[in-house]
Amino acid sequence: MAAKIPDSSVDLNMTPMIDVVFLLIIFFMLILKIVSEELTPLDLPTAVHANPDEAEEDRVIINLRRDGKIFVDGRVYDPTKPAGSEALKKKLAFEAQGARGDDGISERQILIRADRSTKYQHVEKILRLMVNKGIRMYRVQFGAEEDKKK
Amino acid sequence: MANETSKQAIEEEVELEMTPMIDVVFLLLIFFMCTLKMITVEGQFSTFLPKDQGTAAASTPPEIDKLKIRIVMKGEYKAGVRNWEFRAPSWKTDKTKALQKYVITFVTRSPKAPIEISPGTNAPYEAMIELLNACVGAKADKINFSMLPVPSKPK
Repeated sequence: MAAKIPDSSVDLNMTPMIDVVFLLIIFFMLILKIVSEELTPLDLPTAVHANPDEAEEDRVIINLRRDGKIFVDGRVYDPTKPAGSEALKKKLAFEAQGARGDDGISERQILIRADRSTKYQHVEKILRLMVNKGIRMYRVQFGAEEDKKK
Repeated sequence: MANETSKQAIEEEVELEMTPMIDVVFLLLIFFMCTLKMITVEGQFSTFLPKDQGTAAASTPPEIDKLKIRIVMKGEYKAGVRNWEFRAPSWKTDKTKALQKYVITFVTRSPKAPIEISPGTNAPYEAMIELLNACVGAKADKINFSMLPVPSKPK
């Protein structure tokens, strides 16, 4: 006599798995947005002696592409055009406002991330803007990729 | 009788077909996992810009032992205290290393003396970082950036 296979099917409870999967999706969606807005993908130069990046909460990140276009908080500024330069000046002045010390100089940190082949003249433009009367920021960081050979 | 059939209808469980939804959700998850670029560990060099915007000095400041380094192009450096004593030799493949040796010699001779970096306008950012890296590696105390004054607009 052959053994009878029981008719009742085993029900798997899928609810916790679906919950976890949805949470994972939400996590990936949020991370993707944050990464794309703050850090523009750039080919950064490598440096062995660079300090590990410990960001302050309200740090301003300036991404500089090789063509001189600047990305701050997902917005594009073209300093080669007067309108773009003026818009960037306003943005930096706005960012500097919140953290002014007694001497009127902003304590806010700025990180300049530039593509390895970006010409120095584009970096200098930002530095010049920072020491400008209405902005007055002095804490600058230059971004680099940590060398893995370290 | 009619009462019994309606009771049966209520007791019957309405089953939702979950399989297509789970398929789609898994596809979405795989998509996000594949498109997510892992964040590479980034480093930085902290610097400070001058706080004061001083006026032009009436008299010339006393001459101090200051090493000036000029970046001409990537891997092309000129350096020296008074003249351009150091030029990266053209036959050397790793010019930055040769420069770092020169900077180390300078720093050991005068450890408190500042180093002034003046990158050319067409010098790439990479060369600037290489030079900063060399100076930090040589344990230089003060690193300054020199900027040419902006010519004032004619009135």
